[in-house]
Amino acid sequence: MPLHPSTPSLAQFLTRQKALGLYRSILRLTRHLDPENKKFIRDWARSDFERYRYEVDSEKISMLISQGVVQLRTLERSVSLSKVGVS
Amino acid sequence: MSNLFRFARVVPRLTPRLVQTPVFQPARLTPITLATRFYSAEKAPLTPQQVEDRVLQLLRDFDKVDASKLNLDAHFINDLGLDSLDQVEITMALEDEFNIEIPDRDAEEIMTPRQASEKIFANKNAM
Repeated sequence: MPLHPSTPSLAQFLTRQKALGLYRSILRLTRHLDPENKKFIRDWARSDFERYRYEVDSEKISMLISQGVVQLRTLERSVSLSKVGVS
Repeated sequence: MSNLFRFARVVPRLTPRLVQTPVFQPARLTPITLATRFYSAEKAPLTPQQVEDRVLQLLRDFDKVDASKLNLDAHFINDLGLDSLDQVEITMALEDEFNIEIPDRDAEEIMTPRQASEKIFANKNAM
């Protein structure tokens, strides 16, 4: 059976998984924050993803994901610091 | 945690001075066994019906979902017009709602309320 023309290539598929995985990690990280901060960070992340929704340049997408991962690490550090402050 | 330590500190003092107390004396373990007994006070397990109802309610509360199109087999993307980011948000909200962790592999497969309910019902930690 021939594949549908819009079927992503393996590379595209993997990139998509990475992008969604990054989004999932951000949501997981912000899970236990207070509602105000949680909404702020989640809206911010979502709008960043939305901004590049129609990006097709695979190199640019990979670069954006790498940047996202770096930002996630930074966010992880500040969240763990704020946890120390709470408990 | 601090409660346990409180017990642990009191118990050795109650044991007779004559007895050389080994590090792991049974008496010292007693408070811990008492504490574990609280686990028996479990709530009744969820029924498939309860899981489905709560999944549907959660989706109804998700502002991008058109409640009139919602049913157990409505596909998030094809029928409800959501996108893959929304799908991630939904699976995350389900984790919060049922107090469980859905592995990424499983989460990616959840595309209808029915699939979500089945995954959640299969998870013994769901509550």
